Amino acid sequence: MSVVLHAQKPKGGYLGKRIIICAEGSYSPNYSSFKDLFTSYNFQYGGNAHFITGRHTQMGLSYNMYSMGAHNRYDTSLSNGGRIKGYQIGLTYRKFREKKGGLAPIGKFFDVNLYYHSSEYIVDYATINPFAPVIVNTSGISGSIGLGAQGIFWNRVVMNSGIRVGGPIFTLSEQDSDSDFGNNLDYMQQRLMYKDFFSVFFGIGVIL
Amino acid sequence: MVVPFSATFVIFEIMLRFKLPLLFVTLLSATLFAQTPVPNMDNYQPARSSGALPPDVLMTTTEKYEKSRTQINTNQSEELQKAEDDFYLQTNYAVDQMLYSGTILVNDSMGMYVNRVADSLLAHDPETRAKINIYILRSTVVNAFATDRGSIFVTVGLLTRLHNEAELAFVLAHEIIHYKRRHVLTGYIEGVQMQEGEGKYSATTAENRFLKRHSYARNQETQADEEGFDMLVASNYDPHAAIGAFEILAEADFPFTDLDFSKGTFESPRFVFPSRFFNDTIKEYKINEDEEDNDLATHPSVPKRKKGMKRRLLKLEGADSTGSAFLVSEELFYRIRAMAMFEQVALHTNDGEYKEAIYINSSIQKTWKKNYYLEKEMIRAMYAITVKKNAPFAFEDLADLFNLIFSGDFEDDDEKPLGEQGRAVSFIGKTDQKGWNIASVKYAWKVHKEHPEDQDIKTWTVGLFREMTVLNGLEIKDFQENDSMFLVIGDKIMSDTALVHRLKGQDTPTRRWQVAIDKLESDSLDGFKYWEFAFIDELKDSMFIAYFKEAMSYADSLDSLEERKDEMTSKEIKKQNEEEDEAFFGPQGLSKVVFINPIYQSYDSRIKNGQLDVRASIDGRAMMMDAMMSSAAQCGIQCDILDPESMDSTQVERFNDLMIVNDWFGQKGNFKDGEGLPVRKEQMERIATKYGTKYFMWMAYYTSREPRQGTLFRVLSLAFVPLAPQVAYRLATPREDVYFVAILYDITTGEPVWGAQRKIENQHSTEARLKLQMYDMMRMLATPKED
Repeated sequence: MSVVLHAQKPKGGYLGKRIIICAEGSYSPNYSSFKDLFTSYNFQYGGNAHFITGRHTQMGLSYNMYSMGAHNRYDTSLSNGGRIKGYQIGLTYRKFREKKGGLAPIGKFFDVNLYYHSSEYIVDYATINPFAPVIVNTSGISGSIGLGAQGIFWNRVVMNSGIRVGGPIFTLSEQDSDSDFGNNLDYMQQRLMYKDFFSVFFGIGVIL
Repeated sequence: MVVPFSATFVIFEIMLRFKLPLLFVTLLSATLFAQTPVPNMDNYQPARSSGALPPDVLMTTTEKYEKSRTQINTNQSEELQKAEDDFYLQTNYAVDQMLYSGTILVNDSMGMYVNRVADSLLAHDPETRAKINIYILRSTVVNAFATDRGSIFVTVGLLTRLHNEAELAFVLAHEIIHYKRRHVLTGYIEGVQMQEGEGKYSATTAENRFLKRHSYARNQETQADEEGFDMLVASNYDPHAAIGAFEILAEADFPFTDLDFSKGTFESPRFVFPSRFFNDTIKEYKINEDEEDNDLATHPSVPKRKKGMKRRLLKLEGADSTGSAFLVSEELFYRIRAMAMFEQVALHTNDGEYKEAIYINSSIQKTWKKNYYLEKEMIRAMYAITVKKNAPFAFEDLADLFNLIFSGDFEDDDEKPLGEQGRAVSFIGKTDQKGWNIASVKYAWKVHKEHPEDQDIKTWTVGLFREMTVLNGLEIKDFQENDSMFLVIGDKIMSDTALVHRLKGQDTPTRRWQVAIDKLESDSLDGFKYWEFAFIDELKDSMFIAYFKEAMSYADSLDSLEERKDEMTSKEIKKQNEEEDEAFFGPQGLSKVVFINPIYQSYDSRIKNGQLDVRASIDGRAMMMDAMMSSAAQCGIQCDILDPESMDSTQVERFNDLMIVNDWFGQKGNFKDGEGLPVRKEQMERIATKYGTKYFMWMAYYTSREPRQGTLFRVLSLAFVPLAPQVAYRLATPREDVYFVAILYDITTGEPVWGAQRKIENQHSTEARLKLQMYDMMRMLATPKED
């Protein structure tokens, strides 16, 4: 009998390919009011790089940016509005659901995400102080868990989509350049919470 | 576990799908063996293919389909052209499934003889002869059918029924007419027209369309009968054979023999089964000679067809009314028929029809006494029943029981069995597991002593001993070593002096024993060891005692294992189970695996007229093969796919190996996981050496598409805008699931060593998913085991 147990360990992943680079976008309704729920969305966009770590697991790093129109209702009479801009750097652990036949990188999955986010809210109180807009900064750690599905097309293109729920976990720093003008910091924290509260994501990329 | 193709399944699948014209058949009476020559079958070897593999086997389905569709009649409507195209695709696929599954024989003795009969039949028509190839289909079903490609299949079951060569010639003539008149194709087109309500089927009710379609099919049969008869007459075969053929057909549902069944086959003077297991009375086989045509049938009634032939016979004059029963060779005919009978025994066992196999085997052993091949086959079937009887009751048995009850096949104890075969089946079914196991050991031991060099028989004998000690808890001390106490068996007899007196008055020990047993008929078998004296002769043999002791040691070792398990905590047991799972589903570190005819089938519930998406199945299979080969190369494992599509004409031995291993996989499928018949060691070791690996894989990949459920909910959920894209996608696409099953066996031991059983839910990216599954499988097989 010529069966000899000396095989080299073959690479895992999709036919040996284990690195996935993806562009990802997500959006979530703006929960600030019932009206906003259907008309206003928070968009995030960015990219991520994942590595297939096991038969059913994938881990990755992500970088996302967001820019949200912000109209603090308490101060609308005073300001021209403003924007919350920021970015988040995340760490993702993605587990493909074995019971549903998932096998990394194809199939249904759930994932756990942990982000460091840093945001800046520039409120244009031009009518009061045209030379010094109020700048609010905050950074912190947020997280989300998601459910989704991922597939590969044309042997190289990776597509995924799903939903995530999450929110800020704790704040690392916060700063308001002029706290006399409105409750901007509270408003910003609220918007950031809504951003991740329930979001839908789509990703497209390549597997290498 | 998914069961691989069986010939029977394939036949019915094909017959139902294409309404292929089928024929004939017969019941050999008890006197047949006495009246006809008995060929010498002492050294019979199982039928195998030989010579060059024909294009029918080697061409891919796509190649055959492309070739067939060049014949499409372009003068007909576009719809009919499409129907014809579809017919070529589907029929080529269905027939190829049969060709690839190792169920046909090529250039074997039976096939060569049948082809010679076709030569005689078509001596005046070489053009037609050149287009026809006849193959033997390894099936017990009594049948013959033709395809539009000119392939005619004759089953082993049919060959067992024939009385003479002329009957075979008539069957072939009938099928040749079907081919020449393109009945399969025209029948299919008629079916399409009927469904669409076109042509003569327009402006009528669905019921009338259906009746007309079947009337059309019956007319085709009549045409094949009549023109086949003319062909028979023209070829100088005896035209009376047509009547004989229809007599065969009338008895098609009955076994080919009705010789008396005796339970004595499994008994000895000191080992007699209680007579309550044995039905004294049986129902006789009955044939309805007055059967009328059924409007819903695709074939005219047999009596009507027979009458039609009789009318044509009466019209014949002079030399035409006579002819020869044999033109090729009478001697060869009887040999071929005997071969078919021998093959039939093995085929029944392969198909899991063990009781039928035993009855037919015991019947033909009356003619071919002490035949090595038959005795070996008898052990195989007896072993299988032993395993079945000894298997502990499981949940799936309950499901089987319900199926049996609802199918109407459940045997009522008060009902008389049908025929001698029914009597045998009933008897074997009623015997208790200990008694049957003991009978099997006795039989196997006897044959093993006669053929000690046969490793298969030795393995089976050892296995039967182990079944007896492990699953029936029997030890040497449970058996009497001499018969000095023969009349005082069991406490019940001891206490009944009147019975003892009566017993002593009987003539022979056998009869006395039977009387004792009969007396106890109304009692439970518990505590009544009617088998206690079964091994009186065998226990005088030190070798028998050695085998018995080995089996007892084996049982002890299993007991120790069980005891150790009993001492384990639930946590330890869980851990052990996880480790076992990991070992079974995890890395194997193999360097070569042989895949047996991998299956890929796509089903789509949205397809009209059947759910198998043939085109997707063909394309998917090609894709799967590519994925397997490239993944194997990437993972550094040698992958040999044993499949006719990858063979050339010189590789008939590979074709035979495919058949052998496929048969074995099929038998595995008749048992629950981990059970089954011990392997034929010599045969499997030869194959393992030849292929450089003992690891052979059976695998199947099924995809299933169906409309999604909960459409209303999805429509409503569109209102929630964030989810709208996903919801819209799901509304527009069907649900697609995949079922992937693979099981790798060490064919030299019969043990499963690796497996995958996955349901992959609701996913797309079909091609990538398939590639990933194949890659993952190869990776698991190639990755070295962790220490």
